[in-house]
Amino acid sequence: MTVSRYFSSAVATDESRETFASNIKDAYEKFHLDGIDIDWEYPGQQGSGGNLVDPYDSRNFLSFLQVLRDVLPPDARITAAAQTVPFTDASGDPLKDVSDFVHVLDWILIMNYDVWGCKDIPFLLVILTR
Amino acid sequence: MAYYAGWAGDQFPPKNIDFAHFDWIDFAFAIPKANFGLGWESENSPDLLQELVEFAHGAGSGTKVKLSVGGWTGST
Repeated sequence: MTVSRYFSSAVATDESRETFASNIKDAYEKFHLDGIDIDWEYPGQQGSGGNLVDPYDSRNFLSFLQVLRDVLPPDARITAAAQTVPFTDASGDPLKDVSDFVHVLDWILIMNYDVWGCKDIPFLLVILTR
Repeated sequence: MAYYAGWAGDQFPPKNIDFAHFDWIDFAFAIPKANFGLGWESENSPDLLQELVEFAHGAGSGTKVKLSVGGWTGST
């Protein structure tokens, strides 16, 4: 089952956003972290199957990131893993304007490893571990 | 940056990482739960994360650690 199942409900309301952000802050402090990376695969989409999905996932995600930015210390880095297309809008298309995310994310990681394939010539995906 | 796979702790413990190569390491993964808390992929994940942070911060390389929340299907 997808491990991104509960993102949608966790960012859906003011109350859930506060709770989710507060729990992440607890982990940030407990483990002496330097930042948080959100790897929701994917807002507004099924992902690997079994995700809760809401048409307003991406909008809610932005609201959540604003809360998270407020509760974490200013020097905490917040990043997100993203597809090679923008987050999905309420009708399922890539958002045309994601500029608001610039204010809450320090950087994104493009999941280029989602884009691969092979026909005649085998394609080798190398994951560097060091 | 690189991800550190929480399920690779046995084969590739944090003490074996050459931190000079990395500005950032993201520990994969913590998992959002139904109650909006965070869960882990395996029992030893919290200990492994703590170990990773200790080695990263102690390496003198300026390496920093993020916790990555979410993922695809997890390791199991």
